Amino acid sequence: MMLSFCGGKHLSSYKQLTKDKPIKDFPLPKQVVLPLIQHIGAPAEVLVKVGDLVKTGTKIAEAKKLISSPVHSSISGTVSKIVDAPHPVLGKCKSIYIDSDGLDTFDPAIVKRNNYANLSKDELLAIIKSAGIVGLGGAAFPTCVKLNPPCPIDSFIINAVECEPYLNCDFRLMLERTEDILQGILLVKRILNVDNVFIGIEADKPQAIAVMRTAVRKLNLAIDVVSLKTKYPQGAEKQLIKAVLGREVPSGKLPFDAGVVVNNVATILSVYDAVALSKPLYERVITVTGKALKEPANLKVRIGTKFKEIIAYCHVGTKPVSKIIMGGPMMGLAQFTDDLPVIKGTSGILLLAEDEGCEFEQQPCIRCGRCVDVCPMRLLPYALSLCAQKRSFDLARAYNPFDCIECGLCTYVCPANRKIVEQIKLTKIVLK
Amino acid sequence: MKQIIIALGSLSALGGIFGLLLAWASKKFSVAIDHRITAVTDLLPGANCGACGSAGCAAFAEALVNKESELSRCVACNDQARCEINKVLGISSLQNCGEQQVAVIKCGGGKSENKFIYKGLKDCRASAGFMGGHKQCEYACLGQGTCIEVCPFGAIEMQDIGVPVINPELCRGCLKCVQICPRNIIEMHSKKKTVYINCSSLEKGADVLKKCKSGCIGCGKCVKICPVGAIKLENNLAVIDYTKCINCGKCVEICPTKAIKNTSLIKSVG
Repeated sequence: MMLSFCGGKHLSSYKQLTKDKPIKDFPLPKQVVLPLIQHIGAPAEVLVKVGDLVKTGTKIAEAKKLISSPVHSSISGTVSKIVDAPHPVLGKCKSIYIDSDGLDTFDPAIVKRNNYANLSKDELLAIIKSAGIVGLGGAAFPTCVKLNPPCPIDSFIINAVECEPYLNCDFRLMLERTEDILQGILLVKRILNVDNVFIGIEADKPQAIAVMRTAVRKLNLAIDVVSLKTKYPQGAEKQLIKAVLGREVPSGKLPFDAGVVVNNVATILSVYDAVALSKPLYERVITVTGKALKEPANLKVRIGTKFKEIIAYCHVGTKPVSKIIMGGPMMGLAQFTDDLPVIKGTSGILLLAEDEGCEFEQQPCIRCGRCVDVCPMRLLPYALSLCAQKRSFDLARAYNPFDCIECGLCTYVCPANRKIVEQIKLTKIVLK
Repeated sequence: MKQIIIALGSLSALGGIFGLLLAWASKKFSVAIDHRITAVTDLLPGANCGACGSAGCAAFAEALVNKESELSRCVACNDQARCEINKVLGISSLQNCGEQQVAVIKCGGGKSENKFIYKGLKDCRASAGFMGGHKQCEYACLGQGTCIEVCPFGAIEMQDIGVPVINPELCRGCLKCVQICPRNIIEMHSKKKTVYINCSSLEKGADVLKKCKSGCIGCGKCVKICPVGAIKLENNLAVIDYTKCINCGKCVEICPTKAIKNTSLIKSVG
């Protein structure tokens, strides 16, 4: 019996599109757009002005609040304007435009650190904060806050599940930068001061499990590489904790209340880069995929690169594109323009061809209970949906809408094509 | 015959005794009713909307009679009823009794172009929560009709241009639409002053023109023509001071983008 959680569903993965494609460096963009909000929390505050010369890795916006994250220039060049620009999550956000000088000269502060093994916990946290590292799984919560939990914890789980269909960026990182990831894990382990360390990987990535296990054995580390049942949403924080440790995070609480910290594998790698190479978070690996593309790929792109440049690089095929989605098909956000920057939380760009996405008319609920079967949070999605449809939001409160992680499975399985997640999102907006 | 007389006699005796008992009880346990309260309750709109802060119209009437509240707190009452209530309460002047307030949606919309096609739930709050709404103008009415749903008086109707309109004759000023609108573009104003600025955009004139043909571009023509100086420009948007406005309608005629409207003309639409 493989480790897993209640509910969930095995989805068609579509991962073969980019599974065997090594990470390629995306050519240097001519211009980047860097939004001041790329994370959960307060916006960063601008440090530069129009006309300033910046280098790759120069801090251009500083986090002044506790829960916030700085922004670094991802190319060298000139700040051309600071205006409102389209943003893939918020719709619109104040952003810094930088025009490239084509040289990609690095900030002098980016040098290899040899003595990082001797740094104290506070020094490491300060490095992580000033490198602007946020959770790269998609939620983009500032990592330095997460690694400084207010109560004692005993376990640390590395989220390498990547349960969203189509996405492969974490899988490729595990194959290509195995040892750096392990070094990163050791750094975080030292910050958290825990003994139990787990790497959770879904069983449909046997290659990654084998590579990680061999590396752990070679370095003789006390890290448990756990193979998990292939089931969406295995990579959701609370579901991962349930599967690996059998612990349940109480309703309305956070993982550290259950004594656990969970971090995405790409975040761990950027922690390693920040500490060992003093490299701030100015680039990330994304999966650009979908049947509408001729050459889907795993690309290492600079933050702030425009979607349209990346899509052009991967060549749109003959099939007309019906949707551009930032992230995976289940939890990603559909976009209305391709004039958008890649932000820290962008794990992929998915282009659906016309025959892939289809629209249905919403029908009345037939009380079949399929949504109840699959709900990983064990809610009653049909009841929440009906409350929202009848505009009885006060009744919905009894069904705990705020526990919903918006994984989208209820909508996916609904035979009546009900827009259940949208209705739960509306309930959350109204009750907030 | 004898039995009939006995039965009749005893029953009438019993009836008499109980009658006297009831008469005594009604005097002894009587509750004094202030007839003004019932009279005021009858005159109030009876919508029980709660906007006055009382639990309903009857509770508000009691508060009025006991001088614990003011008539101006009722937004739904029409002017005739206000005079009548003042008569009942023994107040001669119309001071402090307020004016009937009606809601207006301040967006000429329709012509404001869409950023994208919104296919989500038909609810303005859901639409506003997704990428900041599907209209190019961030002050535009989203046109999903949530205000129409919540209006208890059926005073709001959707127009062809995709923006609802409020019929001032049916509106009782309960504020439900004002509270639910995620764009905050529904505003209350006196029913007597029928002119209003039909735009909420605080953007500069040129930016407004790019997105919409019927927005306020802040040209200031209405400010100049107003004979009583009731209009001024605040953040690129004309604002009418209703304490000065004499409802002459000159601003409606002069406005180059037809962004100033007159609610008295809405009747024919609604």
